Parts: sequence; C-alpha cells; structure tokens
Amino acid sequence: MATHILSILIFLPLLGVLGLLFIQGDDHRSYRWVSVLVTALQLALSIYLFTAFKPEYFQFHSYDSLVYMEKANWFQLSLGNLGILSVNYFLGIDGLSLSMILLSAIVLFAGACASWNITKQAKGYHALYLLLCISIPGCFLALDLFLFFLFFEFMLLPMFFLIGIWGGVRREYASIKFFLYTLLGSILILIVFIVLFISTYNPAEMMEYVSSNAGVTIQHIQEGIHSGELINNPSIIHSLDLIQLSNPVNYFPNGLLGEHNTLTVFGYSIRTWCFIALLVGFLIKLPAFPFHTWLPDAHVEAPTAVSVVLAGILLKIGGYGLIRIAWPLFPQEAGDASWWIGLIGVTTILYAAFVALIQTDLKKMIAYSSVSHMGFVVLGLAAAKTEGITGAVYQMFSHGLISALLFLLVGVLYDRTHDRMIPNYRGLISKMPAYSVIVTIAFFASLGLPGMSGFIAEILIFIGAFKGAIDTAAIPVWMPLVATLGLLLSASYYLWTLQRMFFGKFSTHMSIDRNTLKDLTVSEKALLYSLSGLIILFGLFPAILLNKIGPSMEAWTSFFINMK
Amino acid sequence: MNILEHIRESLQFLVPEALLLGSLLLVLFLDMFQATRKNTYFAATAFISFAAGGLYLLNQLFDRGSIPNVEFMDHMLLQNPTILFSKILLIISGILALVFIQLSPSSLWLRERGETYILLLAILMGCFFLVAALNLFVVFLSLELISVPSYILVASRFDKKSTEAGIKYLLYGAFATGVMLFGISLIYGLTAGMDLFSPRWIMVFASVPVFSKWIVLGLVLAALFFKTSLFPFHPWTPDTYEGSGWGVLNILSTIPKIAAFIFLMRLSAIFEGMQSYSLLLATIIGFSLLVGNFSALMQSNARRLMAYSSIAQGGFIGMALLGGGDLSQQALFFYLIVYLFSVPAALFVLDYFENISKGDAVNNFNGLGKKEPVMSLIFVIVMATLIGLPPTAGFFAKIFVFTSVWQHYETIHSPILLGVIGVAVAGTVASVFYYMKVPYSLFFKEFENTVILTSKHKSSLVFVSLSILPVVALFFTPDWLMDLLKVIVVYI
Repeated sequence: MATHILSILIFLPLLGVLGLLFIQGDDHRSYRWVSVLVTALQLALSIYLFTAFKPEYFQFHSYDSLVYMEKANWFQLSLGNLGILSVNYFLGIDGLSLSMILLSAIVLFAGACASWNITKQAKGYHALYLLLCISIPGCFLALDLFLFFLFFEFMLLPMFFLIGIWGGVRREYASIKFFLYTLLGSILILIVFIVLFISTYNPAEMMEYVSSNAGVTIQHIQEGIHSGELINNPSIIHSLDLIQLSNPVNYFPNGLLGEHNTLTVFGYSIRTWCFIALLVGFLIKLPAFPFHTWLPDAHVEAPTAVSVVLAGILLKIGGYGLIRIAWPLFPQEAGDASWWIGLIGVTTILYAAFVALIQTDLKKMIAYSSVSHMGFVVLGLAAAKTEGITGAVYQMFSHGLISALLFLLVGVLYDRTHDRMIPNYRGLISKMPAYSVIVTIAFFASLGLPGMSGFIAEILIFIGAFKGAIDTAAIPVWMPLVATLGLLLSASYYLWTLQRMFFGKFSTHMSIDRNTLKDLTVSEKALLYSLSGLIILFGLFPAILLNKIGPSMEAWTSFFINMK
Repeated sequence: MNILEHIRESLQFLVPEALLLGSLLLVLFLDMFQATRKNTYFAATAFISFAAGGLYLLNQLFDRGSIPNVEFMDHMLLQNPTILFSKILLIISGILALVFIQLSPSSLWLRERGETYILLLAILMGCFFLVAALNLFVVFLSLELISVPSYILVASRFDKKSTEAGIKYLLYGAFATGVMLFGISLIYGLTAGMDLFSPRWIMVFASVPVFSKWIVLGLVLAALFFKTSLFPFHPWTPDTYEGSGWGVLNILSTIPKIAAFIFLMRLSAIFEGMQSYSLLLATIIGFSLLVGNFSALMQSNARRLMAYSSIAQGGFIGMALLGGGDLSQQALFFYLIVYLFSVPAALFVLDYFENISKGDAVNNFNGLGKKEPVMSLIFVIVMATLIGLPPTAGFFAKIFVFTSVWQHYETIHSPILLGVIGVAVAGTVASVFYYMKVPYSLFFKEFENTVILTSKHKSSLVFVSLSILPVVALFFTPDWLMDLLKVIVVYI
C-alpha cells in the first residue's frame, strides 16, 4: 500500500462515485454520507503523509528528493520524424505538494460537510463534488505535465456544473464566465506544453531503450544531441516529465526553446512568450489583476461549499503552477520579468483591497479580499528569495484555511436569512454571540493579526520582498513599501464591516425575518471551531508546516538562482 | 495477357464489393416482389453483408498485409493494406449507420422501406471504389455512385422540407459534378491521360504551367470538396441538414466524408511538394475552419448547428492533409476514427431529444438534463470529443493534427500554414461555445416544455454508449492504434 499511497489518495473518490451510482432513490441523506466519508478518508491519508514526510532535501526537481514516487509508462506514441511522445503516470511528493495536499484534504472535507443540506439533485451534486476531489489532489501530485494538464482540465467541468446548476440567481452568467476564463488559461498552458514537448527530449528514457548497448550513459545521449548527431532521429523520445524538463541540457540547442534559437516574435524570444503564456494562464486561475473579474461573480453565485473549495483550494492551483512549473522551467525569463510581476502583485493587493472596501455584499467583499491576498503570493514570487517563496506557500496554505472559514461563515448567515448585504444588519453580536466571535477570529486572521497563520505568511513575504529589493534588486523597494498599505486596507474593510454588522444596537432590515437569526448549531460549531483552531495552531506553531516545506523551498531558491 | 483472363483474375479483389452488391440485389428483390415487408429482414441482409465483408477485409489485412500495392482491373483500382483498412473503417461506419436507422425514433419512415438499405449499400459500394481508385474515370463513377443515392435519400421523406433539401443538394451536387467533369476533360487535354497515380502522369502533370495547374486542380477537386462540405462548396450543408432526417444526416456526414478524405489523402501523397496543390488546399481548409466554426456560433437550431460543426470538423480533418509525411497520415486516420464514432452518437442523442421535446431548436431542449440525466451526460462526453477536450480521444486527434501541420511548417516555413494553425486554434476556442450550447440548455435552463414523451430507452442508451466507448478508451491507450496506423500508412 505504501508504494501506491498517492494513487490511492487521488482515486479514492472514484469508489465514492461508483457507490453513488448504486444508491437508489431520491434520499439525499445517504449521498452526503458518501462525500463526507470519502473526504474524511482522504484527510486521514494526507495527515499520515504529512506526519510521515521527512524533509530531507537535496535538490529541487530531482528524482531522489521525491517521496512516494510512482512512475509507470502510460503510453508511447510514435509521431513520425518528430520522434516518440512518451507519457508517464508520474506522481511524487515534496514539501511544496505536501502542504497543498494537506490543505486540499482539509478544505475538501470542510466542503463536504458544508454540502450537508444540499437537497436539489443531491446525487449529481455529490458525484461532481467527488470528481473535484479526484482532480484537485491529482493536480498537486502529478509531475508529468500531461497528467497535470489532464487533472487541471478535469477540474473545469465539475466546477462549471456545480456553479451553473446549484448556484444563485445569476448562476448561468457566472458559470459561463468562469468556464471561459479558465479555458482560455488552460489553452495558453496547453500551447506551452506542446512547445515544451517539441523542443525537449528525455535522455533517461532514451537510455532505457538502448540499454542493450552497454556503456551508453545519459551524458552520451546529451552530448550526441548537442553535437547534432542524434538530431532528427525518429527514435528520440519526447516527454513532459517535469524533472527532465527542469534540466536545461534536455532542450534541443536549436529547438524553439533552445539556447541557440534566435527566432523572435514581436521582438521577444519564444521562451519569453512561453513564460508569458504560462504566467497569464496561471494568473487567471490565481487570480491576479487584471484577470480576476471572473472570481467575484463565481463566488457570489456559487453555493457555500463550492465557494469554500473555490477560494480554499482551486485558486491555489494557480500559485502552485507558477511555483512548480512557470518559474523552474523559465527561470531566466522569470528573473527578467520580476519588475512586471511585482507590479502585478502590488496592483492586485491594492486594487482588490480598495474594491473590497466599497462592497455591500459580504460574500463579494470576501471574494475581493481573496484576490488581494493572492496578490501577496505574486509579490513573494517576484522577489524570489527563500523567505518570500516560503511565505508565498505559507500564504496559500493559510489563506486556504481562512477563506474556507470565511465563506462557511457567510453561508451560515445566508442559510438563515437569504440575505448577505452588510447594511441590512446591525448589532448581530447580541443575537448570535458564538457566530460573531468566530467571525471576529476569521476577520482578524485574514487581516494578519499576530498569532494567526496569516501573520506568519505575510511577515515572511515582506521579509523576502524587502530582501529581494535590497539584496538583488529584483523588485524596487517601493513595491513592498506600497504593498504594506494593503495590510492597512484589509484591516479597514474588515474592522469596518465588523463595526457595521456586528456591533451597536441590534437591528435588521425589515425584509429579514428576525426569528431566523439563531446562533450556531452544534454541527456548525464543530466545523467552524476546528477550522479556527487550525488557523490559530498554524499561527502559534508555524514550525509544524515550515519544517516540512522549508527545505524544499530553500532548494527551490537555490535551483532558481543557479538556473538564472 | 488475355483481357478476359485479367478481369477474371482481378475479381478476387472485389469480394467485399460483390457481397455488398449481392445483398443490394437481394434486398431489391425482396422489396420488389413484396416477399417481405419486415424491415428487420432488410436490415439483417445488409448487416450480414457488412459483417461478412468486414471479416473478409480483416482477414485480408492480416493475411496479406505485407503484400504492397496490387493494381487490378487494368490499372483502374488498387489494393493495399491502407485501402483495406480504409474499407474496414467504412464498414464500421456503415454498421453504425444501419443501427442508427434501426433505433432512431424519427426514422420510422426510413427503416420501413427497402430503398433505404439499397441506397445505403450503393453509397458504401461507391465509397469502396473511391478509396481504391487509380483513375479519374473510377473517381468520377464512384462519386456518382455515392451522390445519386444521397440525393434520393435526402428527398425521400416526401414532405416540403425534405424535398427542398433534396433539390438544393441535387443542384449543388450536379453543379460540382459538372465542374469536376470539365476539370477532368482539361486534365485529359493537358496530360493525355487520367491515370492519376502513375509515374508517367505525375511527370507530365508536373510540367504543366502553374496557372493551368491551379485551374485544373480547383475544378477536379470541386466534387471532393462538395462531398466533404469544405469551403466554398459548403452552403448545401445547413439547408440539407435542416430538411432531412437524422438517419440520412448521419449517413451523409460520415460515410462519404470518410471516403473522400481518404482519397484526398492519397492524392496529397502524390502531390506532396507541389506548391499549387498545397496552397490551394491550405486556403480551402483555412476558410472552411473559419466559416464552419464562426458560423456555428450564431446557430440556434440543432440541425444547422451540427451542419456547421461538420464543416468545421472537415476543416480540422483536412488540416492533416497539409502536413507532410507519415505523421499527418496517421493523424488523419486517427481523427477519422474518432469522428466516425462520435458523430453518430452526437446526432443520435439530438434525434432522441428532438423526439421527446418535439422541436429541433436548441431552446426546446431546456431542462431535459434533469429528465434524461444519462443521455445528457453521454452527450456532454460526445461534445467534449468534438471539441477535443480530455479525457476523450478527440484531444489526441486534435493534438496530432496540429502537431503534423506544425512539423510541416517547421520544414517549409510557409506562412499560410501558420495562418491555418492560427485559424484552427481560434476555431477550437470558438467551438467550445457552440458545442456547449446544447449541454448548457440541457442542464442550466429550467424545464419548460410540456409536451414530453418517453420513448424506449434501453437500446438507445446502449447504442450511444457503445459508440462513444471506443473514443474514451482510445484516450487512455492511443499508442496501439498509432502503432497500427504507422504500419498501415506506409503503403500510401
């Protein structure tokens, strides 16, 4: 079992889907148990992985440093003179994917619990939800880009239907917008993958082919390619193995992405264009300004559980893709573009925070605050310092927990009154004390109060950003300086909302039935308390997570600096 | 050699055609003398000839697979593994069409008549000759053998719409045929021969002035572009699709198209490197992609939508003709295989929905996803195949086609190929919009239709799931098919 633990983790929900097919009748109660059970098992497996993971790290993107690696040839296609396309079923875990797997298991479990009261076509809902539970961990564990793309694409359709069928009033508009934006992003990513596939080779697999001729080593093959002897050979194996792609020697010197390629399009090299395409593709997913406009719509219309998954984990795939794929494969280009990337980060932080300030819909405000917080990830990446990049991963993890909590809290209120307009409530603390306390915790966590996980993340990012600005001048100093304004802004919109909705004398808009405003039920309490507990846990003891991801991110930075 | 003896010897290569002809005559006699009125007998007769022909071809392919080109019937027809394989594809397509007609809820009038089976068999026979043709005579005759039964099939519902569709189809078809005949006469005048594939003819044709080449090729290819509904011979498609029954549509959009594309592929192989031919083809394909994909965006009627989709798909398949070398031929076959399974499934589900909602506007399908969840789910998979989304083999089909054109671009650096790739990428994005139109109304719109009939369910479900199963399975194991195709395309 231990050798296939990652496959089991990914495909466990498939059993759940099969189970759903065999449950007859319209009783939604049995369906929800399947989701909760499956995600609980996934959570247990990821906690096991998390505790068993030993952060011994040698080198970023090397086979030795991956734990629980699973690699099997899936298929090999011979494409004429182009050579052979080899696709592997290749999974593996390092500190970066570990944190994301733990986060996705927590968030998916929380989402399954939040789906408890879905009654409309419950069977279809839970089946789609379980499909998401396959594709999200799959995305974080796949190390073959073909497999990654498959899982990446496969998130799209379930999410599209979950928003489009179970969403709010303007669900059709929101789901189509979500679909189009994400599809555009994935097409950009696919184009880059195809270019990568054409312009690289996989010496390790080619060596397996010629293993009968003793004495041939990987170096021989690489020298053969670079001296031009082996070029245009139909037995050249191309693959999208991320580990091989991270080695610049494995690019054809005269290929589209090779060092000798002088082809430029509109004044930029193909490598730059590929980096831009990957950047835009993943920034759409993240989302960052100016590609963020799908997110508020999708969030406002999505049902609570889907919002939780969307903010908690789906956005992180954008950041993960940048850290895992865009930066390591195009380090030079990423380094050159750091000014622009930093600018995108700072703009996202400030713009989204300003927009959040004027929102009257609580859910929309939280959606914009998500965008603003994702801007920090981009800023940390632009600086490309160990602290900043660790902070970016920590920010993704912590924001996953916090935003899940925030959207669950909005869901609690919306379930009761079907109204989430901020001006329609006042003094809620006297009617719903427990709820108000959790909201306060969540708001403070999100604005970065020390002692909560968000603080650790943001402080790390700022250290990294200032270090990057001063040491290597990757970004100008004014960028982190201006970005600190984002902290102030997030404090303002959260505290202002707290003051408007929860403090003062209790009153509500006349359209709201006050009798429905009951405090938290036991099951809600259990879910919300445990999430807040986790936020405080990772705020007080950041070492739990930092010890696991730290070595990986150090390796990432040294890899990045070497390549640059 | 004695000519009679030669013909007698050649007959051994015509066993599948003879089987088709035999069952055609049998159905004709059964129908004529009213020996039976039961359509199952007609269908069974046709099916037996398909199955026997298919088995015979398979046997030939594996037995004599290593024997390369055999020319027979006085250099009129060719036998080689590629052609055997193409005929097998046509047989599969024929079987699907047959089952489609048997199960389709709207094709009662079609399946009860003996003529339907006769015409289907005749079309298939024409396609068999077309893929094996070596001479322009055979090309012309086989195209006519496909066209005439098609005209009748389209018009055979005998109502106003179907007659209109039939007349339009006939007029366009007759025009295209005339143009082709004119081209053939010019070719004969220029080269004093019609044996397209002989080295002598190719040499003579190469010395023809470029301008004449353009004109002659344009004229001769007209009929083939008409069959594959490529630009500028596409306008019949939406009108004909709108007016004819789904069973007929299915035949028109699969069998003759597959045959015509395979013939075009053989033609491209001999014209490889000829500037005028590839330029002409690239222009036609680029425009087809443009017209098909972007006109489909505006459609609100399911039939017209599928018509423009078939023009666009023709463009994508045609892209494989632009690339050179083995990969493009493999890509073409791969795409055709995906196409031949997914199109009947798509049309069948639409037929099924039209029957229960009594209308072919996309709006009529609103909310049906809740009434028919499984059928709708299968339809989503079919549409994903046609778009080219994973996890369906449509994804690979598109990737292969794009890669083959890109590879060719890298060798010849022709900007028009880059243009075609650009249009195709844009078209793929656009195709998401129109292919998702129907699933969108199935799942997202509220159910508002009051006339709803339940029809027999099980066999339809089995048919669509079986026809889409290979496409999904091929996504997970595309390697064996590509390996097989690699062996097959060597003989082109």
